[in-house]
Amino acid sequence: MNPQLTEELRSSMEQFTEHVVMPQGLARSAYLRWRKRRVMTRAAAAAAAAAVVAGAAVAITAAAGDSGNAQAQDAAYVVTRVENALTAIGRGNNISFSRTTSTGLNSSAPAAGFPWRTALAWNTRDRFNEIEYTSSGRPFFSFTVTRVPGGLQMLTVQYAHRLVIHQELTGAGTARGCSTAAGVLATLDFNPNDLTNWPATIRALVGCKLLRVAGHQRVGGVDLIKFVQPQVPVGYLSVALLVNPSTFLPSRMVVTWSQPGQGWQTTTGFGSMPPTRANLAHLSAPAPAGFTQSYQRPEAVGSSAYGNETSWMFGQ
Amino acid sequence: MERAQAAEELEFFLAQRGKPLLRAAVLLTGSHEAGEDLLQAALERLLRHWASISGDPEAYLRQTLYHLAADGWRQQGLWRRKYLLLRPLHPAVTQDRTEEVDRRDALIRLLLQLPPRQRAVIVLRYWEQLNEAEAAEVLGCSVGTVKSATSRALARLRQLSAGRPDTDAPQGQETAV
Repeated sequence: MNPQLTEELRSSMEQFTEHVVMPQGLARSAYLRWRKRRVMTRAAAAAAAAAVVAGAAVAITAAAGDSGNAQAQDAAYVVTRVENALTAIGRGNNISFSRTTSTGLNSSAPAAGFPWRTALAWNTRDRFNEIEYTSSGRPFFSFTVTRVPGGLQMLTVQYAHRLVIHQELTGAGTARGCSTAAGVLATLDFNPNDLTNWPATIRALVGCKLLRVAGHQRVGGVDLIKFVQPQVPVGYLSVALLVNPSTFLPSRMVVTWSQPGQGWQTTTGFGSMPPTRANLAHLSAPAPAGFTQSYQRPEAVGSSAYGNETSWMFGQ
Repeated sequence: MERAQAAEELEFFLAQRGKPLLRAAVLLTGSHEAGEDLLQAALERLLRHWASISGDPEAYLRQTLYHLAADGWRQQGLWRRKYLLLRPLHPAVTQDRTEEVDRRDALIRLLLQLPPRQRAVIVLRYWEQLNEAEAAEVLGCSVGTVKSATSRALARLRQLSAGRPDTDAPQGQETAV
């Protein structure tokens, strides 16, 4: 290349960027965005974890005071119970439903960096759809996951940016071992109702002692079984799950994130609805007209933006 | 290490040594705003993989920055580049520097029309002043790919150097390297 042109190109780039100023807070902002992205899939993990723990409750409760082989036997018992329960649920083809509200820890308003106030989520065996709304009731973000051969098809809508992002995650649907507990939980995150995966996941969760019974909590006149994580490092999400002792179905989940001077909490209630045409419509992703469509390259679960989702959430 | 703490450390790092990265990001995207977005996206990816990163995070950050840029990063960046082609880059210059600035503007405009990978190669080679092997390492491609991308990009720039209009580069169009 002509040396004069090389120098000219360099000076052009120099001139073009000479007034660039590094803004303060860029890394913090990236951190908040990173954290928010992970929270966005909280509902998927919550629904799955809740059902898992509902089954795990049986084993853990029964195993209180026992150890060794007893725990292994109870884990097997849990798997059986949950398999039976989920098979029954699957036959009904009901749509699971959850409603989550968020608040700042020190006020009734959403915390900084947590822009949505209410999230509604519906899911079946092969489809998950969540829509988040701001405090004024406007849609803020939606996240839809559809199981496809070999992976998951994800569709996210960023309403503020009028952007729809399409991406496929490959390699989803494979349960991980205990040595990769984060992977186990990540599988939960993206297989919200993959019934065939749950027994393996339950084995790992119970075996890895990722959940424990923490007594009861009375809600609406019912003493619900309360489950918490054994340890939550500072800065990680803390999850408390309340399970109905009669049905062993999840009733409520509270997720808390706190650091000195800041924090937020979300409360999720669970339910189900029959698969009527109107209810099934909730599973469909919104397709706002005029939004920019962005098609991302497929990513493997382990390397995707969501790959280690729950490893961060659960501090593994 | 917790990510929150990592973010604090990165904040300090950016204050000390972040400006060259942001300048590269601005060149790769065509505007200060988009450059910040790109750098933030690279930071987000760095935080995501923080636990598994050994060695210099700056090198990882730089590599991620170029990877994201070379991969097109955001499809919506197209409109930004088109927008840049429509407005003056340096609206206020003294009369005696007008021709020089116009020429530099034209070079930058042409740079911004290049496909992402070609643009990344040009920034690496003539802004970062890396050799072909080093540029290939940053982009995670072969030296041959860097050579061919550089050659194609420079062909466009030569057209401008020779004073001929660039007739074969549709504005904002993404093409293969």
